[in-house]
Amino acid sequence: MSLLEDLKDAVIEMEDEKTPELTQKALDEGNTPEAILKKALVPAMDFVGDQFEKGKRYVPEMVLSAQAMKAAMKLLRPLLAESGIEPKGIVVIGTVEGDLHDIGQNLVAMMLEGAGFEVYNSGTETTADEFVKAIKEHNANIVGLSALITTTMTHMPEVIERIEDAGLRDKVKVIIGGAPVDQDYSDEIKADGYASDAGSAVKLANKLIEG
Amino acid sequence: MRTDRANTAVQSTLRFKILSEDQIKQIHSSSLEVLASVGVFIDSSEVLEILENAGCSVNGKIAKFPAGLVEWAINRAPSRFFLYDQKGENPLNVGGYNTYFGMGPTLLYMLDHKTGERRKFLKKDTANAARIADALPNIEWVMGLGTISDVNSEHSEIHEFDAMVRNTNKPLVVWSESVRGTKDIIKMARAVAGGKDKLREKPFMVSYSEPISPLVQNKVALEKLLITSDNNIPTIHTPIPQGGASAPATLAGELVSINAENLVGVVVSQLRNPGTPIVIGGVIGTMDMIEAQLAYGAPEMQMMLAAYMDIAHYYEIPTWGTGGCTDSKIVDQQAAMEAAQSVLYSSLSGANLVHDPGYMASGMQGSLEMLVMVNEIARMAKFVTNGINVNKDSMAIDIINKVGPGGEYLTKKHTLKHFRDQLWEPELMDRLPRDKWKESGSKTMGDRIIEKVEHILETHKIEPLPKSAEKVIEEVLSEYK
Ligand code: B12
Repeated sequence: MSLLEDLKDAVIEMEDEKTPELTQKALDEGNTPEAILKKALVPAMDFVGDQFEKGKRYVPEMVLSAQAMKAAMKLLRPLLAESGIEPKGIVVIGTVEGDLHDIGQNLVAMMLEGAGFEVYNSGTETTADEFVKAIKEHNANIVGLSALITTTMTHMPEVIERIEDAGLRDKVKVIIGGAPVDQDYSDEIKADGYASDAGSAVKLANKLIEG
Repeated sequence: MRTDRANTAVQSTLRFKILSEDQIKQIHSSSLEVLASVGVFIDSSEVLEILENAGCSVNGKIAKFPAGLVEWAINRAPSRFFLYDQKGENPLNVGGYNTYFGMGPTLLYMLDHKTGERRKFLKKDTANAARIADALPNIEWVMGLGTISDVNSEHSEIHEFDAMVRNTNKPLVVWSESVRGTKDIIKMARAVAGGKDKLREKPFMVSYSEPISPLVQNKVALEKLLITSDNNIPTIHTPIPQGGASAPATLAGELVSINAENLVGVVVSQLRNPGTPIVIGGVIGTMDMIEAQLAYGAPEMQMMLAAYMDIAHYYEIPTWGTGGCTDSKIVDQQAAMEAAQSVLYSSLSGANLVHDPGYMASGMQGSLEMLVMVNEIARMAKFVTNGINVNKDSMAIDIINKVGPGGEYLTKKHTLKHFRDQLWEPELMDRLPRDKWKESGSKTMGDRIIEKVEHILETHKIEPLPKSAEKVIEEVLSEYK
């Protein structure tokens, strides 16, 4: 079996301690970073994602595969950047001001990473200004807002407003999620989309990136 | 410790234990190890100072707890407290193996019993739920059930208190998202009780706050804990872990972790005001690993709760249980199965204040029908936990001998004397002969439950609040415009 096959398997088998080493070997053998990404990592995550959709893999297996991929990406990302290859999308995600519920948004962040997005997780209680700052800093084209309480979801329009004020609204798609929000709310606050779980969040992000 | 009195007939009632005493001690000592070695993130400088002064080592916001301090606090915390109704009567003895069911907090949606549709939670829903609970003998305390959406959401807790005190006389569990709200609720509660001293002497209210799993204590929750401890208001300070996500996936590991979280509340409350009532427990959940949802009807949760009740009984600290809830979206077979299982587990394991009857869809939606159904389940559970009274009269040897072989009992005075209190009488369960059942409309359990909901809402009356209390509540409400 080729090294790329091994790497693909290591991601599928959730072996994050093996993937950096295999990635390095693959590079040493002369594979381009792009080839490693496209021939090993992406197909591995496609496979895992498909299994998850079918109910053959469970959440921990999904996120551990994503972690194995992330460990490989750590090596590849700077090299990809050098050769001018942009990540598929850059996401800033966080829970809005006052909200400490982070289990769901962490899951979304991990799944997006697994799907090839570069993700910056700004954690809990992110203010509108902090979102704007993070978008600028990381040159994000997607921002994910998470709110689990009716009293905190009202910060979502505030974040969108601040993004507009900063002149970034055309550059970045706003996606939202969490227990009290839904598609209607997304429409109401003029976000670009809502997703009810991590799997759909990936689909939504993919759709928005493809435009 | 068992507290059977001397010179009385000991009545052995049905209880179960999940953990042996050795297992309890193992978990206890592991929690102490976690508290001493990794410590807890405490997001309050005031609390960090209290802890440091008491001998914790504090580094940044991490506090590590000496075992001796934790055990001092466990021993200092009262084994029970008496929770009165709003008139200062009929206390619940919150401790030991006494089990009392009530509702849960802050649901987003209501399953409307008239339309069968899910809709946003309204102020009238808290009012109706309180009134339903007031009429149900086995829903023995009241919580607001949902976050009221037809007022400014930040004022929801104040309107919730208003809706509750106007619709029930039963004890209340209150919560608030802010320090201001907590203070205003205390102010209104004092007015309802008839003064500060009355509320202290005969509390009708318990406060609710939550740490964050794993091992984090957030600022607002701690500040609330300090205020309620200062005022001797019994306080529930319990986590909502999800095994596999915010706690270990092994059930024993989750118990170690959440016990450590609970014990922080015990330490802080007892340092602040030794002897103030503190309640431990939680929603000891697991994450459903297919849908990433906290499963409210899971048997793992029932088992861990029962195990944690064993630990709390060992500590002799009152508990906050979880039961009467379901992951189902409608009041169907699943809802009945999950509610029945959890109500029985809570009762058998002696959980004290059991919350979440009426909770559906992973803590998202509430239902009046569920409350009515849980009342009937709790009646059955109570009958079971009451056990069998074995004494000379109840063994009925005289009457057995008198009736003899081939006789009958229907015409005997002994039967007349005992059948009412010895036999369980169904209210909602159907035992009609088939023909009668058909004649009376072939009703399902669901139909009977809805009829009962409507009957209570139409007929159950509540005494109005005293004018003086009304005035204070109006004043507070007017500050939240
Ligand atoms: C666990 C929990 C907690 C834990 C949180 C621990 C943590 N580290 O996150 C603790 C105990 C700390 C907690 C505290 C509180 N909680 Co809470 N909590 C929950 C609970 C039970 C589960 C949340 C969860 O983890 N679900 C599992 C995850 C995986 O799912 P998820 O978060 O929904 O995320 C998924 C999707 O929503 C979506 N998604 C999420 N974010 C995003 C973002 C984007 C961009 C996208 C596209 C998608 C997306 O994808 C995720 C993965 O599939 C919910 C009930 C519920 N069913 O939601 C209540 C709930 C959210 N909490 C609630 C409340 C009220 C509170 C408190 C105010 C309680 C109080 N009375 O003091 C505090 C507030 C603290 C604060 N300031 O934030 C209410 C909110 C109701 C309301 N009216 O607004 C709920 C609904 C429960 C209830 N009925 O009471 N809570």
